[in-house]
This record gives sequence, C-alpha cells and structure tokens, in this order.
Amino acid sequence: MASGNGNSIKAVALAWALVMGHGQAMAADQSLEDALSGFDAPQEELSPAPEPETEKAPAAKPWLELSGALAVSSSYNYAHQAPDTGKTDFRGLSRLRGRLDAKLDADLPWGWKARVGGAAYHDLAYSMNGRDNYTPQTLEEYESEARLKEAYIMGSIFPSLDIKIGRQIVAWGKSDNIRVTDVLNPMDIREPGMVDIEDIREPVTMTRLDWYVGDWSVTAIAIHEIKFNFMPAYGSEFYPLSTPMPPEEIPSSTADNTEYALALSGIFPGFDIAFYLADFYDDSFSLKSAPMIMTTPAIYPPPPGAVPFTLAHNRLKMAGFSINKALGNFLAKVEGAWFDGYKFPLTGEKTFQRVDGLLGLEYTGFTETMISLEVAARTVLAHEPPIAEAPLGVDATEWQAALRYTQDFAHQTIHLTLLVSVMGLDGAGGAFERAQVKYDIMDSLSATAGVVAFQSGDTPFFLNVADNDRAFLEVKYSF
Amino acid sequence: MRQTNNENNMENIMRIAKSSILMAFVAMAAAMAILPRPALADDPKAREIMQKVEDRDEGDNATTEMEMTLIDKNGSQRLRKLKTFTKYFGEDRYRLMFFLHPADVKDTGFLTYDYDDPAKSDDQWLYLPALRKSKRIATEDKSGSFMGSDFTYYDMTRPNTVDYDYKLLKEDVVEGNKVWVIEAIPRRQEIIDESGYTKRVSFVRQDNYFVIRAVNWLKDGGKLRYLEVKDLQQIDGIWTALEIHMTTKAGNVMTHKTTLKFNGMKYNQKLDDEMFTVRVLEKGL
Repeated sequence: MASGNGNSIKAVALAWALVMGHGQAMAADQSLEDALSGFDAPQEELSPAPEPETEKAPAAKPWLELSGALAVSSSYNYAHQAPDTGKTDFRGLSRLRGRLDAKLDADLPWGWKARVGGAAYHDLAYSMNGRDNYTPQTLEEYESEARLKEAYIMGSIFPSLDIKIGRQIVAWGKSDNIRVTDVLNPMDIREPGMVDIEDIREPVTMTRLDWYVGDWSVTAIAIHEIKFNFMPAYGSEFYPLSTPMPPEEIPSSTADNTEYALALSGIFPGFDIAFYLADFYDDSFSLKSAPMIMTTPAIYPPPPGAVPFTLAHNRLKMAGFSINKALGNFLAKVEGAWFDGYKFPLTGEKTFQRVDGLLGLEYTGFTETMISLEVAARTVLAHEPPIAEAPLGVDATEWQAALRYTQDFAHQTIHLTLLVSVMGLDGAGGAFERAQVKYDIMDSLSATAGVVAFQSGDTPFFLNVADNDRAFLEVKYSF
Repeated sequence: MRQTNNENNMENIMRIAKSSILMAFVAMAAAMAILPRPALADDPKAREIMQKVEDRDEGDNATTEMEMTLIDKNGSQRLRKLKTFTKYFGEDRYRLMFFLHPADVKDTGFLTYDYDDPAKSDDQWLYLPALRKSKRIATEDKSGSFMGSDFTYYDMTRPNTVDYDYKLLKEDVVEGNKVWVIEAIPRRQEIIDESGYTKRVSFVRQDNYFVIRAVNWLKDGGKLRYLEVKDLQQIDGIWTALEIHMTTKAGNVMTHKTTLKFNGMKYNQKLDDEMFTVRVLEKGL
C-alpha cells in the first residue's frame, strides 16, 4: 500500500511536471506574443503617410566658430566660527559669481587650426559682504578676473609631423586625480576642491612638435612662458598662515629659462605606455632661506624686520613613465617619476632627488558607474631631518590617495560624483571630500549642487582649512 | 459487518476515482507532452539566417552625421549630434565619433576598435576636451547607455553568432516585407552581463537579411526594448538604416525612447588608416 501510494505520488508529480511544463511554455508563448505585439503602431494607421523625406545633407561646418559657457555659481560656508576682531568673517555667502568662458576656433587652409579663448568673472559676494572685510590681496585675486586662456595655431608640417604653437595645455600621465608626471602646466589651486576640472590647468606658451611613427609618437616641447601655480591669496579662506608669504622669485620668460620636455608614447591593443623627460621649474614653491638665518634648528618665526625666506621654484629634471592596461572591466594605471634638483630651506644649495610612484585602479563593471582609486607616494632620497624640521617641511615619504565614484542616472541626465582626497596614509596631512550632483535641465543647460568638506592636516595646503566646509550651486549654459 | 462492507465499497469507489483522476491526469499530460513544444537546442536554419545577417555587407569607409533624439516619458526631448567615421581593417571595425551638439559636450571624441575575435577585448578611448587628454576606457560591460540613449554600447556592435542559440519562431510579414522571426538566447551568463539582455527576438527581412525589428529583454527591471528600422534604403548598393527607433517599455508603457537618424551617409570615402588613431581623436574634426 505504501509502495502504491509512493507510485501514485510519483505519477502525480510527473503529470504535474508535464502539465506545468507545458503550461509554462504556453504562458511563455503568450508572453512572447504579447511582447512581439508591443511595437509602435505603423505610422499609416495614425496619420496619412508622409511624403518621403529626401535625405538631409549635414550642414557644412563654419570656418569660424564661437563657443563657450555662461555660468552663475554661489557657495555658502557653513562651518566657520565667528572671527576674532579685525579678521575676515568668512561665514555665509562666499561666492556669487557670474562667469563667461569663450573661445573662437578657426579652420584655416591646408588643415591648420587656430584657437583664442578667454575667461572673465565678477564675484558679487565681496561687495555684498562688505569689501572692507577682505584683504586687498583677496579682493585682487578673487573678486574679478579677465584672462587669456588658450591661444594657439596648429597644423601638420609633414604628414607625420604636427606642430602646435601658442598658449596651450599638455596633460601627461594616465591618472585622473593625482599628478605624478603631469608637470608641464601650472594649476589653479586658489580654492582647492572648488575649481572646475576644465579650469584647473593653466595654459602656458609652448612650441610642441609631434612626430608619429606607427604605434609610437615622439613629442618635443619647448615652454617659453614661465608661470607657476595660482596659490591662495593672503587673507583668503584657504591661505594657511597668519602672515603674508615671503617674496616670490619668478624667473623671467626668457630664452635662458626655457623649459624642455620630451615624450615617447605608444598605443597598443589593451594598453598604452609613455616615457617622459623634462627639464622644468617646479610649479610649487619651496622656501629658500637667506644665508644669515640658515641654521639648525630654524629660526622661525624670524626676528622682526628680517626676511629669512624667499619663495623659490626649483629647476628640476624628470624622467618618468606611465602605463595603463585594460583588464576586463578594470583599468590598471601605473606612473613613476624620478626628479632631481630639489632644494630645501635648511640644507643650503644641496640638491636632492625625489622618486614618485602611483598605482591606480578603475572599475567600470557596474552599469553607468566608474570607481577609481589612486594611491601615490613621494619619497625624498637621502632625506635629512632638517628637511622635515623646516617651516612647511617635507617628510621622507609623503602619501596621497584619491577615491572617485561617478554614476549616471535617468539616461545620463543626472550625474553623481563623489571624490575623497587624502594626504598621508592616516589622513594626518589633511583631506577633503566633495559630493556633487549635476542635472542636465535641457540641452546645454545644467545645474550642479554639492558640498565640500575639509579636514586640516600638516601639509601646506591643508593647514587650517577645516572650517572651510561649504555647499555650492552652479547653473551653466553652454553655447 | 454491513458497515464494514459499506466502508470497503466506499474505499473501492474512492480508489477507482483516484485511479481514474490519476489516469486522466497522466493521459492529459501525455497528450500534451506529445504536442509540439519549443525546441531547447540551437536551430540550424535560424543560425544560418543569423549568420547571413552577420555576414551582410555593411559597407566600408563610411561617414555620416548621426542625429539622436532622446525622448522621456513626459515627451521632453534632448538632441545629440555626432559625426562618425567607420572603416574595416579586415574583420575588425574601427569607428571614430565626434560630438557636434549639444554645446557642453561638443568636441568630445570617441574611438573604438571593435575586434571580430570574441576573445579579444575592444579598445576604446574617450577624448575629453575639458581635460585636454584622451582616456582609455576599459569595459567588457557594454550594457550601459550609449550617450544617454536607449541604445547600449552593445547595440552599436554586431553580435557574434557564436554567443547565441537561435530558434526560428515563425515567418511573418512586416509592412509588406516577409520576415523570419528568430529568437536568440545568450549561451553564457557573461554575454547577458555584457549586453544587458537576456533574450532577443529579431525580425529578419527575407529579401536582404536586414533586422528591421527586434525586441530585447532587459536583464534588469523586467523591461523590454523595441528596435524598429523606420527608413531603410540602398546606398551605393548597401542596405542602410537611415532612421531607427529604440523604445524602452515597462509593460505597455513607454518609459524612454530614442530616435536615431543618419544624415549624409556615404560609403567608400577616402578614409586613411591614420584617421582612426588617438592622434586624430585629440586633434578633432
């Protein structure tokens, strides 16, 4: 009996499976038919058939084109405390800026091209808050600006030889967030974490030659215009000290001071590689001590009236490389560079070498998402204690890490970006985090909102920045 | 005793009834089982058709201006314009694209080497004018939206027939053209992950092996994506879609739609090999 029941159960189960299996197939067929009937109704059912369209020929590209963007941006500081008497009050509105970027592109005969671009802005926040509240240096640097940006002419001298002359940007390296071999253009870091990526590199006047041979290209560059990083102005929010900086020694843009650079770049299936050589001025300043004060330990702060330091830019030599390699959804990045010519305040005219390395990994396996992590180390070879003991001193090895997360939503109308940048393995050098959402309201019109938070640290850029946290908003129209 | 007999009779009746129901079930199941059922294996005829689709002449040394209109469920429209250049290097397709519109992405360039060998990953570079540098893009996942449209990067490539099992569902007529209706099921999970689709049904015109309609089953969200060729013409003897619509639907409701028009399509243009290099990507149009 038990056996009979067992057989019955098996038979029912078999029958059920067969029936259900076929039932599912029938349901699937029905579902398939439903799916296949989902096409738009033929147009002739909706309206009379239109006249057949003649194929549209694309409009010819004009030889002269004006393009650019008009933007209004504002930021609001929410972390500042009430200042001491006589000090700038940075609370509240810190930016209400109207900005125009424009560039004129021309297509010239024989395939040559030219561009002239510029940017201008005025920030109403300073007059709204009271101009007396700010140092003259702050007003001069941040309230208004009109600058020539790129201005160049480019073309081919021979089929495999290109030339580009004028103010331009050359971005070396494979990393996106940390600079190791990207040393040719100075940066605008007057408001760290707040400068748009398109404005962060400052164009300088160069002559550039590119020679292409198969998968390789050789680039030779002479940089005629000596220009350095744009630093926070004395008395501004991001200025790290309570006293003005010492005078800065800026080499003149003469033939004697021309900077030189050479790159060999190869592009291959699955990976890109480049090797670099450069003889250039460090875009970051270092303190140079006056001989009478050069003692160990340093005399700091200096005696009244004495100017113990000047800001100098070391002439450096660099040999470097960068590689990226695609591995499925991963992109691995490696950069390395050797520098020679660093001088430090308490070590006189002795020069030091530095070795920088960067490892990066980018993952694009999640739909509409990119995650990127980069870690870099900068090591001063034969480091000596006075190098670290001096004002704005440098440790034997300094670390930097950056994590970037971007994701697009709603058919790429909403763009989320999260960026964390940390100095030092434990963050002791300082850090900032930026979170922003950009919404494409319509073609060419976007709104971006976000917050930036800062943590102070012992590296120059991050001294006393913790109270600069802010929320920002920008509306931008591109034309 | 009578009660016992009655109980026995009742038990017999129940047993017979049970057996009858069981037999009926088995018979019905057996009858249904011998009815035609979907084939589970690859269908040689369907494969042959899809192979011809893959082998169809797509033209070479092509240039065109692509106009892409993105339409959301509320009817709001966004426009993208691109200039594209395509050239075959053997079986490998190289494509260079530049944005012309809108202004905020103008001059952005995209270079792809789409290798025929399925074991070889495509090479892709993106030139971002804001950064003044080209950036290699490493992605096996092609399921992401192509510039915010309803087309994915996978849709812009030609599916490899070795990645699918095919089945000829039926023959049909679409707007006066006889078509084969063919189902394609990805053979491996990685193809589903790469394409973002779990299944595709294609309507292949019998006279020219052109897919004029297709339904794609999205891996995520249970949505369907409908491709329709609205304008198909012969240019220089090559069948060319000049207008394509791709509509994403949840049930019967359109959630997003993209229309793609190709203006000034030309084949057999003098496109140097050098055109498809990062050099040109960075120099721009």
